Amino acid sequence: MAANPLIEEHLVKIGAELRVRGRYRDRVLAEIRAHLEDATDAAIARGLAQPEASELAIAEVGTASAVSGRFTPQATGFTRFSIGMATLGVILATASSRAANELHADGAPLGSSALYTIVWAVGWVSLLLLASPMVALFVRHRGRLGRSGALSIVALSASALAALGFHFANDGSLGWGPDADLWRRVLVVVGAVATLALAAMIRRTRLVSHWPLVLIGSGLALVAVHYLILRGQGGSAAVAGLLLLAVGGSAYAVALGRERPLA
Amino acid sequence: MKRDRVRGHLRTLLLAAVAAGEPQHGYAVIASLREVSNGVFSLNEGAVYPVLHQLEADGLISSRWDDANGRRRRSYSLTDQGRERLRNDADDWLEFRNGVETILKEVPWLRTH
Repeated sequence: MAANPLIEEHLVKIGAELRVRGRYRDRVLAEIRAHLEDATDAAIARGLAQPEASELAIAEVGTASAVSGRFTPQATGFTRFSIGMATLGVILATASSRAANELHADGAPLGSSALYTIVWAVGWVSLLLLASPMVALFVRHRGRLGRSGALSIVALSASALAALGFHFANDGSLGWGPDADLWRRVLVVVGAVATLALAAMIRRTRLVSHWPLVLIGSGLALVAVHYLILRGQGGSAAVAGLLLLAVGGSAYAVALGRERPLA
Repeated sequence: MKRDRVRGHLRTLLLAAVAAGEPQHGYAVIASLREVSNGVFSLNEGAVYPVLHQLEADGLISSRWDDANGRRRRSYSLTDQGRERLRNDADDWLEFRNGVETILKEVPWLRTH
């Protein structure tokens, strides 16, 4: 069957504004094409000529922005679970770090009390809790994200871990103390890579509405956190970084997972 | 009928339209609603597909690709869960309608049908 140029033109406009991706996007466009063709046939059967019939069908289905705007991607259960786990990891890691800082105030070594040991263990386990869902999200979405998306997930995860590790090592005193200056440099580099990769990924996938604003906000916040770190205000910088990464990472993960499981 | 009023019942209407002639593709569902209701339910066509997809994501309908006359269409059918939901929605609606009718009939100068 020959393609109808009016319908194809409208589909191109809809496709340009659709925020859903992958197989679901193909399905949406195929269904709308079939609908427009059926509506055109019905109008022709009522006595209209082909161009008028197609124009009527297009008018009845709605403008490209009206049609595309209704297909709002939603977070999948897997993404919600991942975000929940990551958020729990952030909360546990922050709480245990602060608790360890208080317990360690008198310089007691690790193992000197059961409570201190438990807090120490919870702190490090929570790091895994934060990292695991991020890695799982990367594995799940790697095919669609491309190199920039993959790099941004890895860099964001590393940035989160580095911020937490810095906080533990230099403020929470959880028994592991890498060189603070080296740690700061690592944080700045990883954060910068994360920002650039995130920018490229968001721009490419357009999964987030108003992505330039999201990008500018995220970039400014990361710069502020790294400024605090470079000024040596490790504790507040790391905690601020954690919160930023928790919020930004969650929003990012939602954006990644906002594909319907339909196909 | 005003579209705002239809919107609140769109899921039930679509479940009923799919059930009436399953499997049905999207255009047939919309046309069926328009024809059976004598034009009362003239839906915003572009708004129907996202709702059908949501019903599918909720497990109330299922879909598959069909090829007919060289044209590929997505056809919808009710699931068991969808049939149960439609029964419940129909019961709720009948109860609601009877309640409204009873109240309207108490108004002597109103002509009710």
